[in-house]
Amino acid sequence: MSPQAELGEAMLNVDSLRVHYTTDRAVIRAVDGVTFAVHRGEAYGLAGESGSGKSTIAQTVLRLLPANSGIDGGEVTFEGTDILEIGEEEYRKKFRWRRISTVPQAAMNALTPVYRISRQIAEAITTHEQTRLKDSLSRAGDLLEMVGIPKDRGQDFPHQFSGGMKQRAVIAMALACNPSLLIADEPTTGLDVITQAEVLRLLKDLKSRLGLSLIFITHDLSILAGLCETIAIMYQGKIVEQASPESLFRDPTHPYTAKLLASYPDIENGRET
Amino acid sequence: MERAVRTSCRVICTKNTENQALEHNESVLLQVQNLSKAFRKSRTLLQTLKGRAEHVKAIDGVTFEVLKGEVLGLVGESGSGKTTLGRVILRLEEPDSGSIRFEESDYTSVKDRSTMKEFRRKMQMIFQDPFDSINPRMNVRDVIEEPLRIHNVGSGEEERTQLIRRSLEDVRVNPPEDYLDRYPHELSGGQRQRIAIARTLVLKPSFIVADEPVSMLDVSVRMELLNLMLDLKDRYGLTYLFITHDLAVAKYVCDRIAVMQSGKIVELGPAVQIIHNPQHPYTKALRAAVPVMKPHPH
Ligand SMILES: Nc1ncnc2c1ncn2[C@@H]1O[C@H](COP(=O)(O)OP(=O)(O)OP(=O)(O)O)[C@@H](O)[C@H]1O
Ligand SMILES: Nc1ncnc2c1ncn2[C@@H]1O[C@H](COP(=O)(O)OP(=O)(O)OP(=O)(O)O)[C@@H](O)[C@H]1O
Ligand SMILES: [Mg+2]
Ligand SMILES: [Mg+2]
Repeated sequence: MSPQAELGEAMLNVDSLRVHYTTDRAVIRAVDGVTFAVHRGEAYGLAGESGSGKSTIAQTVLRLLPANSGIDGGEVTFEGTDILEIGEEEYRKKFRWRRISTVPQAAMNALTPVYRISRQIAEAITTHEQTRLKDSLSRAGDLLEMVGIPKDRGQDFPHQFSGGMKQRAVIAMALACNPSLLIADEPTTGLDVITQAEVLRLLKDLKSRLGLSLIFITHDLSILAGLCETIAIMYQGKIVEQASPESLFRDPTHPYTAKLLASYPDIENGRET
Repeated sequence: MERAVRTSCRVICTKNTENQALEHNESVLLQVQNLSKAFRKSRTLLQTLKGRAEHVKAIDGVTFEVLKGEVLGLVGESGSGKTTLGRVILRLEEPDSGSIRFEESDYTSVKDRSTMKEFRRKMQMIFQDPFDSINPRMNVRDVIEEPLRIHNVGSGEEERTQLIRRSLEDVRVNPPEDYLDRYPHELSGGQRQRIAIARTLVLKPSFIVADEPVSMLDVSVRMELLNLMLDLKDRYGLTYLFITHDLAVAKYVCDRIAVMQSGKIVELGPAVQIIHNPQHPYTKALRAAVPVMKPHPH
């Protein structure tokens, strides 16, 4: 039985999605028939092989696929709208940032180098909501504090931030307009475990308090175990296994999942020298 | 002098490592003494008018040694100065004060370009952000060939192509032909990260600062690459300063681990001890925050 049965109605439905890229030499079938659903207030974890198509799925839902890509089939519906069918203008006005926002995998590189951090967050707010810049600036400060960055550091330009600080600034920006779905692609890779725990606590809180839904992409299965209702494992463009953390960890059915679980370096035992 | 520096260091060092370092003094590869680097904070107009110049002490009087052939881990809070320390050691960033000795010679005062280049050939960095550190206008072949050309490694086209292909296979970007002509934006995050590793390893430098080198890789590939790095270390006697936020990874690859907080090294000792018997309160907190690999009941 599906672990998602008791989660109620789906907010995002991805059905039989297929996406390819074309290069000079080849056609790469990056996503090869993927179907899944994300429910309101649910955290859906996506893990798996490097190069298996996780970011491509994210880019598709965000309508940020590059020019050399093509969608070969499938549907993506968000709250009843087929978001692959609507025009760019409509997507931008109704969905991007306000309802679907993202922490991209290249988060450390996602900020504009020439603007101060709080200014960038504030502008993201003012372009999507009717607020004055002054109010947005003070909200930007609050958002930064939420991710553990002192307000006054908002004066800095991106190059003055450490890797993990940039990552947190992008998380703050993604949460600025209270989205209903956050697609976070490896949002905590650059964070120490204490800071990571704080960010995860924040996301969990937004999830239970405001019904935030998440697609959380990571290689760290222990994060997904603590955060997600459902975990999907990707391998070569396909979701090869989808289950609740409990059953995934108890009896993985796909050999690749088993391999992932087995190769985890164990902090208790580890390499003997 | 030696002694004076040691006693002034506020690091919690275990007797064990201290003795080790003293006894095998000849095997010290890198000696960092009292290294500091501050950055000016951005200021608001008001602060400028008040004339306040505030600084972020990114690294604040750091002293430690790296032994030849060891993997020294560097863990710690986000923003605590790990990347800056790595960059300053390689002089990609100039220190405000302190000294760096590499292979018994003073690297801090080197000025002329050819000596600098000699050092650079031996000391390399794998950068934290593979989206930022790889030239977007170069294809994979050029990205890996560049360091070979700069440092005159490999005689001629053919040998270099061989080296490039080998290094791609090493980092599990397979088969190489499928990737040689691709540009960085045509690769997944983890593939880019592996290109960044290949680009550094291909030179076989004697000292590598690896800044979160495997953060974007699935555990199975991650373990293969960690083993590759350990294997190269054994075969070529490489030495690593290994920056990571993953304590399990740190324990797996590191001989010793240094813990940073607010620009200072607060604890340094054998990996096993840092993980299983941390002394400094920050290290204890770090250890306690490691997520356990168990699903929580909802
Ligand atoms: N613009 C592009 N042009 C050509 N190929 C691409 C492009 N973007 C991605 N690919 C290829 O598509 C496949 C899927 O990439 P994707 O970025 O979705 O993987 P991923 O699962 O996110 O991997 P990672 O965990 O390493 O980030 C990879 O083989 C990658 O090389
Ligand atoms: N070029 C710069 N200009 C101004 N401040 C800087 C600069 N580089 C780093 N800093 C500041 O120095 C401090 C240390 O940064 P560093 O990048 O070394 O941290 P880190 O330990 O690598 O963090 P992370 O784990 O998040 O990557 C931070 O407060 C950062 O904002
Ligand atoms: Mg990706
Ligand atoms: Mg860093």
